[in-house]
Amino acid sequence: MLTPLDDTIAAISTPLGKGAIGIVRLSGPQALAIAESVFRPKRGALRRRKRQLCYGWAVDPESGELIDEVLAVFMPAPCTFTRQDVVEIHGHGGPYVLQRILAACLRSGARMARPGEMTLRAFVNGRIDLAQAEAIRDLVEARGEAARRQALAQLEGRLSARVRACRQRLLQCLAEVEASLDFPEDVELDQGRTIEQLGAALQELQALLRSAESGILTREGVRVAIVGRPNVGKSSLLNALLGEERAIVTPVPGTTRDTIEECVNISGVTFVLTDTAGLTEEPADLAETIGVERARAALARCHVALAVFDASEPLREQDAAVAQEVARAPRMLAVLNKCDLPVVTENPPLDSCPVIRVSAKTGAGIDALREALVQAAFSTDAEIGQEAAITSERQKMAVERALKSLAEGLELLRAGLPLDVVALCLQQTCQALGEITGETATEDILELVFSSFCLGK
Amino acid sequence: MAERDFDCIVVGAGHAGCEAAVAAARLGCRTLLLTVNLDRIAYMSCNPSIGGPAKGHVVRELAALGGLMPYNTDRTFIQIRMLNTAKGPAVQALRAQADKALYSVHMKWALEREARLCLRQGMAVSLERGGAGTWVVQTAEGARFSAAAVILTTGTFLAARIMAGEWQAEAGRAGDPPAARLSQALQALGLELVRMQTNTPPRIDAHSVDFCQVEPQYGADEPLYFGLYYDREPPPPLFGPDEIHPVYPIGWQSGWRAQLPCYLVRTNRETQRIVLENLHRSPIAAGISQGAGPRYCPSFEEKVIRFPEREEHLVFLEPEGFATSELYVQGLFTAMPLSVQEEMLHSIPALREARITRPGYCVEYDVVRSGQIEPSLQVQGLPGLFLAGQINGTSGYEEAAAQGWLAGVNAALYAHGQEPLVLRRDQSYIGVLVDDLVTKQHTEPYRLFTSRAEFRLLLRQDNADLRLAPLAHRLGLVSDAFMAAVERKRAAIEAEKARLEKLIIRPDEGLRELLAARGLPAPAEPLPAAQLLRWPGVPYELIAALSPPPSPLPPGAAETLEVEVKYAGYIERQLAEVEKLRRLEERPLPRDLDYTAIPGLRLEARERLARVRPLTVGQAARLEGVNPADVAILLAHAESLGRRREGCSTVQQDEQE
Repeated sequence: MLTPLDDTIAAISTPLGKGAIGIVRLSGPQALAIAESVFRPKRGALRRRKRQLCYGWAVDPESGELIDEVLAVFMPAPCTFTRQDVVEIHGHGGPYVLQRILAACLRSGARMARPGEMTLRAFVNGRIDLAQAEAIRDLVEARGEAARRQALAQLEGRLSARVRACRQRLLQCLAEVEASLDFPEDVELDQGRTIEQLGAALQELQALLRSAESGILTREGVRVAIVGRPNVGKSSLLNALLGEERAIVTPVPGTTRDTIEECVNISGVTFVLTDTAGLTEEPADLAETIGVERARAALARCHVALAVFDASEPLREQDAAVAQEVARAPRMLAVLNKCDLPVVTENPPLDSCPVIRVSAKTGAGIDALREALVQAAFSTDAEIGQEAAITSERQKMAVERALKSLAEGLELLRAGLPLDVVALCLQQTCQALGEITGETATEDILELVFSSFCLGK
Repeated sequence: MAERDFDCIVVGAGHAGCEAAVAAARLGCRTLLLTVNLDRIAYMSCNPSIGGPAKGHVVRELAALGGLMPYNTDRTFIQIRMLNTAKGPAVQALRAQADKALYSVHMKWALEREARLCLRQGMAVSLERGGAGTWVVQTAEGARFSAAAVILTTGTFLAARIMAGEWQAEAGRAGDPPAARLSQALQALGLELVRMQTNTPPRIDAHSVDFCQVEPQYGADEPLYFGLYYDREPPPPLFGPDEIHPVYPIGWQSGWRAQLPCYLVRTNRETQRIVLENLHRSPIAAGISQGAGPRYCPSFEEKVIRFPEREEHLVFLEPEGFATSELYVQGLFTAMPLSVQEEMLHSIPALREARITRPGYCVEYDVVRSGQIEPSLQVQGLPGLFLAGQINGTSGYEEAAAQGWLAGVNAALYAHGQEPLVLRRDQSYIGVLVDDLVTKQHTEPYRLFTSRAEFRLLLRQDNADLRLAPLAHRLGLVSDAFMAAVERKRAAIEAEKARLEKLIIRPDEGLRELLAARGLPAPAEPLPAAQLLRWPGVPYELIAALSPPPSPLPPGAAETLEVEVKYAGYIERQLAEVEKLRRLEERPLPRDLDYTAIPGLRLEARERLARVRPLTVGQAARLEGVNPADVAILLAHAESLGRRREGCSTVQQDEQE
């Protein structure tokens, strides 16, 4: 709950929403080190090219997966906005991409900046004047964030109620453990019941984490990969969903050499649509080979795969291959395109997935496809907005930490390890959950101990 | 410096006062210890017991700091046990039953052996500022004493009254008069007082107990002590087995020392009925007592009200000494009228014939409202005036002794014109205690729990000496020989740790047998000894049996070594937490900071900060009513103030923006 000034923080520094570019900013002593684990320069090293834009890739430090093509710049202290080492990573301006770059920074050791914290550091370190204290106060009091969160208030209110309920259950367990430690003669811990309770809390947290997916999807966009063999009309489909001529469409197979990414809003949810090169076993040239690789990469990180087939032609071997690749996606939809032509293929080579018949050319069936996309994206959890969901990377990380320490505590308890260490794990769990609900534990626990147990000594 | 009678005056000779007086005297202060009754020094007005979780930790810390309580307990306990042995290294704690009379007598002897310390009987009635930075204490008999520093350890005596049923008396405890006039003196100095309350159970005659119907609770059958003796001989008990009162059926005695068991009995539905029918006659239940009582040590009335579904409550009969037949009825705290107390006791089978020797009662007394002292235990704005023990709203002999030690040290440092000593939360339970007193608001007597310490795994009783002895040695409160023993232990632990990291254990027959004897499987591959030690159920002695250290470890080293290797991961986690917080601790806030002039602080935070006047940003962050946003603003303000004082320009353009 405290605000250290000398750790490394990260934030998206450009307004949320779609823009040509967006900036993730790191500030603090580890800024360079963290940036180096996230940013892979095309040539040279970031640390040697001070204050120069460096071209390269943002990568996921764990999987090594490329996130975005970016520019990065390293500005050493003290001549920076915060007077600390600062690195800015300039990515493409979609919220999803920026969130992923930010998440990569957080996983490499940065702490998510609080609203206004960069400015606070600028102030504390003498970069901006005391006269701006008022403005800072507004920022620190998180009014900006409050406004930003307004739209999500309903969701978050429900989320914190759910987290609070789970935390309360854990606090009760912790209180029982603590009572047995501080009042060994009055309180005997019912180990079996505690294990049961902790197990239930663990499941609850796991469900919460699953909801993170749909919650974060709501906020940061659902990634949809449009895949299929060449010339089934993927780009036409993209254009139809966007309602504009974004992708170049020709009757020549393999026109789309690279992936194209565009955002579209459907029922209030942002979808990041990726048009990909046709998946072919025999690429004509190197460009097509790269295109196919990128299509596979897009498929690998999508939330929903749109497998497109040509209804006007018989299925080919390549279609079957596409179906096989698509089967690995978390969720999928089969689209039979070109239904304006005489239909030859009635059913796609995919089992147990919704089939939508459309004509990208006439627009027939596109609304049904939109609806199906929303349904597919949120099929694991209940309807959008109905269920309490985790909507930010910060909350997700807090729940992940809570889950990790709870699982550890439970394991220790089952293995018969001492209760003081179990208590430590449970404290960390409650602390992590408290970060979502804004509560601290010590007094809560004592309160529970006193109200739950009759103590004598 | 002006003429003064003493460097330091300690008012009150309870557990806080004794530690305070001796610490001050040993640090070179001519010290006066003033008490209302010289025959009640370090008297255990309530439970004749010392230690337990967190409290036992504090006593160990006092052992490392050169305090009196550990040694005094070791010489006089009639029983000692280690609690929580199976619950982990952080919460293991010693608890002893002390001989109440011997404890008091032995403490008096110790005080009388102290150079520079004068004992004096007298009731303090006034406290005023004298000339030239001195304080003047006056007794009811008219004696006046001046000193640079005064430590008040008034216990439950400030404007105290005791109650049981319809009976009331002005007393600090049964048999001793209250400090009736000192409260006014404190209020005149600007201190704000509140009422608190606590209670004590009846004492009964062991001759009237049916020992066939009790469950004995025995002490440890291996030597245990609060004090740290290393290679020296532990102190002998003041009484031997021959002196034990013949009323106690001695069916068992530990080989290493004469001990007495305690005896467990249980209340029943009948006891509950008696209490419920007479609730209106208890000043606690009827709300006649104005003070706030402790929830962790509730009166039996409160237990029955709050947990009506519990028909049975445990009651421990604890001998008040070797040679006395008086038993303390632990768990039956009550302020019922005498006749009801008798009925309650008689409802318990073993106590059908029980004769009360002293009735239980509750005591209500003045304490200084929280938020008026500094981490040195000095009163804010009144240099030289220190408070320790129950006057600060705490309960417990151990909590009192700890504060007494710290107040004594700081009074001496003050008298010598030196900077005060502040103990940190990550360093000691005493630090946790004092920091809680400074930063939190208490509405009931404060007691330490291990759960109050966020760094519990670091604050173990086995490493109290490693944590605190260097500090005490720098002050001059422990001897060079003691310090050398602590350092030998530390070095031995480090050396053995390093050896265990390098030592490779092979899964041979010998290992397999040793592990099988403990129901553990053998490892498939050779592995470092340290790694094997981290296995659940593998103790250090097993490793030492396989491969003994080059020279035997000094006493206590093996225990700490085992904990530090086994729980290394968790200990490191806590150390990382400490490091994070320490940076905030190191940012000072000026005492004269005008909180009304800082834009952006919320009103609640502003009031709280202005009242407590925290010394560091870290301390401010722990205050109730101060939220992270306030802390950020405070931090920003403190930094900008610091810069202004250094005379730096705060705005510089740079090429980036």
